[in-house]
Amino acid sequence: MRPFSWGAVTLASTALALACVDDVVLPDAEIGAVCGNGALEPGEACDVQSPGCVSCAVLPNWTCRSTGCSPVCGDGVVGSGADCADARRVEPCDMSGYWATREANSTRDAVVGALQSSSNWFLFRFEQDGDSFRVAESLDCGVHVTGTVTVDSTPGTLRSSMYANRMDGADGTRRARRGTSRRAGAGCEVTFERWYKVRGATDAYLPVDFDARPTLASLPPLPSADDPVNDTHVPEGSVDPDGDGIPGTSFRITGFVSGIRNAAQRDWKEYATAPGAPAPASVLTFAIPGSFDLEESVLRVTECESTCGLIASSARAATDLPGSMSFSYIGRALGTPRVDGVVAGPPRANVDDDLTTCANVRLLLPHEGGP
Amino acid sequence: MRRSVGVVSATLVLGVTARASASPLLDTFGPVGGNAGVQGVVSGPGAASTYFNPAMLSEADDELLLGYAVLSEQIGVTLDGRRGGEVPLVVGDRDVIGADGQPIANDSVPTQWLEQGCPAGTAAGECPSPGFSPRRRQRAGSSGKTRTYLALGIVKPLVKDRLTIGAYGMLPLSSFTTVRGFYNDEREALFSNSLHPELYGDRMTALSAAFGGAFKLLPSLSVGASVGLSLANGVRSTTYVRDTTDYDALLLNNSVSTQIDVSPNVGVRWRPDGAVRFGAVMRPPSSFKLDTAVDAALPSGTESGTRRQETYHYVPWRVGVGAEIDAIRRGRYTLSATASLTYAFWSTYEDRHGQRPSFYGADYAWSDTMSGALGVRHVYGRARGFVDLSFVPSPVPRQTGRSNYVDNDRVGLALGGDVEIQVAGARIRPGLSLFAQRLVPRYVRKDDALVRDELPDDAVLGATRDAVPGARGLQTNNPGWPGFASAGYLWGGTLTLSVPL
Repeated sequence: MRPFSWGAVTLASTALALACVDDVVLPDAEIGAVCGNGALEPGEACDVQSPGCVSCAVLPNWTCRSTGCSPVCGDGVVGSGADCADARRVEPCDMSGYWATREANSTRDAVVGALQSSSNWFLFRFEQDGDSFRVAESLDCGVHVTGTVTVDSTPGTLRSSMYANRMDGADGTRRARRGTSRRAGAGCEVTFERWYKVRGATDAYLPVDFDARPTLASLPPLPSADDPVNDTHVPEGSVDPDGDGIPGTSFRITGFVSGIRNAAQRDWKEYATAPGAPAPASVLTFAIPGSFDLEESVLRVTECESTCGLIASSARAATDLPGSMSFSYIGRALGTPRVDGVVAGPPRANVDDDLTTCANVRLLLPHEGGP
Repeated sequence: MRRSVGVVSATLVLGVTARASASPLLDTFGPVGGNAGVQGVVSGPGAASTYFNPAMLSEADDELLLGYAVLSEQIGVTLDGRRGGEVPLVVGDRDVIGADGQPIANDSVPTQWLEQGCPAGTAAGECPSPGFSPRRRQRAGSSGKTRTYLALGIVKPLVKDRLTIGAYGMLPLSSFTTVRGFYNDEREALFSNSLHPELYGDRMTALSAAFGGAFKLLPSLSVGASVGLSLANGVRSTTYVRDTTDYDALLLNNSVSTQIDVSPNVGVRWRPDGAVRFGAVMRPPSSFKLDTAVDAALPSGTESGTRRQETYHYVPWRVGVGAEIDAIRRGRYTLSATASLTYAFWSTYEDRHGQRPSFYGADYAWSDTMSGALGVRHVYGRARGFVDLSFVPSPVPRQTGRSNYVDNDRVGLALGGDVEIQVAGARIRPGLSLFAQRLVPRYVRKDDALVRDELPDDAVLGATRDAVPGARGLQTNNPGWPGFASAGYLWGGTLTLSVPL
């Protein structure tokens, strides 16, 4: 009898192994640098949205990282070496000059109760006198809210809100907003006083005296609509600042639900460094804690199809969570490379210039809190 | 009506019903046992004839058939490397607006999220907890499965030379009656981000059984009918979602039902003389339909619902004919030549989402196919053997556009035989068969103009109205882009034991 052959078993096993087939993904092809895709590729000095990065080249007096660009030395800023390493302000606690700021606060959406992260950007020019400073010029550069849904100013709102609620006192209705900045040890104690704003309603809904620090609940109720989905009447006291023919300030909602929400809003915000925790002195960018409150009355919802009922719900402030205000120093005066790289022209002189300025401000201090 | 706000709760009702009567497994595997090879329409009367041509039961020996079968799918998919086309990260912000002023659809995510995931966190570039898991290309491919089956059959004359009944089935020994849904276009990037062979995989797990009988009208003419038998499952799930952001709070009630469903086969067998035989069979389409109803209600008064019908294990109308002729007869030895053709109406195919391939355009509609087989049969005394060559064309056209149906032409070889022996005075007939089918390699390169651009070139950022970086040209997460190839094998075999009754 012929003996059993292990060779046959080996041969069969090999045949089976050869018959096994795997999936394969071939390596990605190497492609040339694509400027504007957000990835720093060979041949690009930068690829980031920033006024300091144009055609993927870094402009003079700017330095760029993957997260953004910032202007370097000159106009109140000094540093070391040719590339102005360790850039810092010349006057450690002096707030004079142009600043990009971002107010970061939290709200709760009224449908699912989830936290929303809110950013509100401003361009400020401060004038400091002693330990105090005041707002000399300002632009409100819009809001961006993320969380369960994403909320943005519509283009009309962006244009109209830039000049609303002015804080420079130039319209004569109230004095300029003030703050303090004084040396405290190795840092600076900074405060920015409480300020009230209203959107989508007349200034009659603002407190007569900001210094009295009234609560929002103690003020006259905002204009309201019984049924924001179907009601088309114009509530008394409302205004249409964005010119869309619908009362209230309009915001675009995207994400889980989508549509346009026109609302009347009122808020106050104030900021101050905590006792014993001053802001770092001389730095170009710092943040201080603060608090705020918000009221919203939804007046109309549109372009929302079956989800109108959801976006008709008003957001409310998450007052249990601290807010913050980030400051990014731009420079002292127009006409210098540092300032002209961000501020497209004298504020309030040209709307298109101001829109460009605001876009640059938002790029200097990106929104945080998720997509 | 006062709108209720502030409390998070939602109602979600899922209703699922299903019907099944499909047998893609039997059609792919072919007859088990006897001398039928892959041409059961005309050759090798036996228990398997119950499904493949019930009229041939009238010529089958009475038997009890037991079989153990193996089927291995070795189908490899090779994806071309991407050449750009990345959906940029900014799309993840869900704040991109198209030229029409409307936000772009939420059905696209940044390509980087698919390859690397999105970490949980609240900083820029991070996603809400628990983050977005990576779905790397083809990491969840479904090739390379080997399954085993138990084959059972019986043939028993009820009225001698007139009426014979039979039963036949294949029972998967694992992965019993599974279904696996996937999309055949860029939508699959959100799930497995992989391509999957269209006509295999879960289709090879269906319980497949047939019961039928043959009636001999004339000594040379028989007709037969059988019903393909499968399980049909019905599931109705009712859920209460208290919090749309927390599915751990889901309340769930399930109702499950199982029922038998049938589809009829009819066949005819004609033997004009002792040396020539003809057969024909017709099988209707069958499928496993899964109806899903989703209704959601929120306490704010908003209600929304949708109804989807999915289709699994779809097999179209098929008509088969065959002929067999005894070419050589010398004493106890006979050599026969066999040929058969099957016409399948694949143009009616519905994919797993109940979608006709023509959804992607007339050029992408599937074709009807004509498959064929040639073979020889040897009989020497009590020993029998067969060799068959087969060709099964693919109904799937070149996938140059959005769709990614993966399928190949098949060329196959099958051989086997059995012999009757006596063991302890009892007659038994052990048998062995092997088959291998080559899935002919196929490659397609996508036409960029026909692939869906998931980020329009003129898209802008909602917050600033600035142009979206990286929006120029084609951006797609279609897992089949820019091209893919497929090839492989089906191989298997059976061990059978037939016991005369």
